[in-house]
Amino acid sequence: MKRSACVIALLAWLLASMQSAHAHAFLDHAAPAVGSTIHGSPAEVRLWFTQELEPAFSTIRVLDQSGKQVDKADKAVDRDDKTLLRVSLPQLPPGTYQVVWRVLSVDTHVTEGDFRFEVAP
Amino acid sequence: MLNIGIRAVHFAAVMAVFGALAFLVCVARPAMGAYATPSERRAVHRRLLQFTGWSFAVAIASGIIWFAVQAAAMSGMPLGGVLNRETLGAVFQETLFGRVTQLRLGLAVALGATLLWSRHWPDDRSWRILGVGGGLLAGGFLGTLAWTGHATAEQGVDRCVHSLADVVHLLAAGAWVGALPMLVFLLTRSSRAPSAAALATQVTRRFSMLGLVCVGALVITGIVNTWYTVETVPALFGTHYGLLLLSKLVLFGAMVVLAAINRLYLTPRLVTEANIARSDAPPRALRWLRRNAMTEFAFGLVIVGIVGALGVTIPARHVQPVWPFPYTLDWATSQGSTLALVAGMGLLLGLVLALLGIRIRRWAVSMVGLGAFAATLAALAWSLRVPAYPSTYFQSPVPYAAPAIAHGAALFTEHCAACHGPTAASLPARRPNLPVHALHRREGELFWLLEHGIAGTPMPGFGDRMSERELWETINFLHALGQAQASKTVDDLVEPWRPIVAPDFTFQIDRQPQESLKQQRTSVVLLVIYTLPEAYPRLRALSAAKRDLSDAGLRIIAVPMNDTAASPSADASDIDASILALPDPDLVVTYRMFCRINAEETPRDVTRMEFLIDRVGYLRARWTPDTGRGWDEIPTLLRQVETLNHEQPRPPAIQRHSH
Repeated sequence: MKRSACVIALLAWLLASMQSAHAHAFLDHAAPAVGSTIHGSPAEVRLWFTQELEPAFSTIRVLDQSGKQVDKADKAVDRDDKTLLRVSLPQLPPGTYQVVWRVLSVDTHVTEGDFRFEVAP
Repeated sequence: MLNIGIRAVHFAAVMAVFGALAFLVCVARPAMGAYATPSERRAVHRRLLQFTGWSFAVAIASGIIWFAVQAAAMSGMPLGGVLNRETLGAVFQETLFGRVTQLRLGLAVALGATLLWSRHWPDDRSWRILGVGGGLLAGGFLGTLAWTGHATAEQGVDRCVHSLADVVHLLAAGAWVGALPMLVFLLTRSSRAPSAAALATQVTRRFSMLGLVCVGALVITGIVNTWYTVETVPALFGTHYGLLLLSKLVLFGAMVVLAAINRLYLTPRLVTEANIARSDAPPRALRWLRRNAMTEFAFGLVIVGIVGALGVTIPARHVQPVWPFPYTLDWATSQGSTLALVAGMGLLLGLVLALLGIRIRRWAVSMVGLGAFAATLAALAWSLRVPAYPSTYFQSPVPYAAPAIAHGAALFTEHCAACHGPTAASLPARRPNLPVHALHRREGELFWLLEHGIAGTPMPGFGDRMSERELWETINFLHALGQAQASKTVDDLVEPWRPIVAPDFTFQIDRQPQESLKQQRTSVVLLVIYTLPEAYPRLRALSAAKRDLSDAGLRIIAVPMNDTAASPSADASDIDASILALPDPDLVVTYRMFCRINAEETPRDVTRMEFLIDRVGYLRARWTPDTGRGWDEIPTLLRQVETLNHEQPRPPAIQRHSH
């Protein structure tokens, strides 16, 4: 009896010590690059991740300085490269833009992040 | 939390189903064949069906809850919110997890039918269909769990190897741990049977055989999986994942010890005790065996609990490992080969003595041998030890690229130059020689020293003045400084490879989409940093030769040295626009560091610098006009490209991903 109580306590401790935020697919690189300045409006934003993504639950949004979504809301995972998530953009006026992403990797885990890029004339 | 628990319950239940059926086929039937009466066999059969039936029911229930919990986690909605057709349908049909669940559902239906069928035909002659057919289905039900885990995150061959290792690992664990309850039951029962000892001996012998195969498979596949998810020793000691894995290993070790006691000590005693006593009371060894099996099972359950947690923890390989010890071992600090020789001889001598002692049955000799072995190990560790910090094994989350290096240069001027050099770009810095430090220390170690300072020296900590990112940028600059110093002897001829990494940069030709150096995997890059109007003739010459150069596999990227009057004016229509990139001050600051020649301390004031970067991102040659005609002769440049073209392929220069 005592022993099984010990085992249960150990198990509970192990479970309790777990962190609750889990993240698995990481941003490898992006175009426009993270924090970069690009001359002229880019046609799309492309994000490459370290793992393959689930298209159904992977999203990407591009926001302007006022927080308004400016992309064409046609986000998609590339057909040939499942690690590439893209969304197309209209003609953007110069300014700073924020890219917000949330992706689900095929190993069932969710990651989120954001970065900025600048459009120069 | 719920996810961990429900995952563990599901894993345990599925393992129990498979383990019981494996036990039936590999242990119970062959052992009972000669030593049990038909009624006993039927009783075992009934009990086994009962056990698998209940386990299966738990597996289905927990599987359904797990799916809902997982759907909530995947869609980012609260658990109550996902219980609608649309979301569950999307998870079920459009994700890998959902498709694997579909397959597992099919297997479960077939397995359930087999179990029900066996219940209606309790005749023990149907055990083959139950054992073999049901066992295969249960194996599929268990093995497919591999595709709900980290193995799917790999790509290419790695995915196959990791998935296969996961499948074998699950099956082996199931066959061992899942079979333990049935072993306990059979031992309990056989303690009452007339031919108790003989049956128990048969059962434990066969079970040990099964266990041995499983343990072997678990160890091999466990090593493969650890390689994929942990990879390094610091990751094992310094991450949640690693520590969970270590506790799993300790429990596994305990289980193996118990199994070994059962096989090597208790099983032989079963026979002797039975021969001596022949009483009605169950032999002591048998009770002991049963207790061990139960303890083993309890450990196994805890391990499955840990597995539930591991499944939702970031694999150690992708986390910054926090080194928990004040020291670490560093082979590079020692006099390598001599030490290795002495230590190797010490270890060998100790081992030989220990084995000799066992052979001649002189325990004192064995002890001396083991002592020598341990002492050599301790001495080796002592001589290899170097101070370590929690961040020693951190890897820079900031890419080694021009923007970070240029920003690091500015930070260096602001915070460090007062003590370490007149200006950020000066070389060599005043003592201590920072570039040398940067080259010979781990970046994680530099990070600690920069953040906290060095006790006993005037070096202060900068953790309160710089952000974490800025500290890493400064380290990137120091690293570039060290690399730049190492590149002093690079000239306009390609020489054998040296590990000088060309800092990554992004560039934009005209209004085309942004590109990066890292993407240029198919061509050698000629980076030209120019000033106008001096560079007009050079740009014209390169434009004229562009076709020959691209045919040879060379891509020209020309970047102006300063923003003002950057673009070639209209009178330069004979300059090929596809080689002209838009201005990038960070790139110029960074590559100017790499522009020095022998014994010269400060970067030279040149109006033009040209670099040749190979296909995998290493800086291979450099030319400035003040060193001679050099690449003004296009054939000379072509020869350098040809040399690079004929090199053996090499893995790409450091690739960090920014977490």
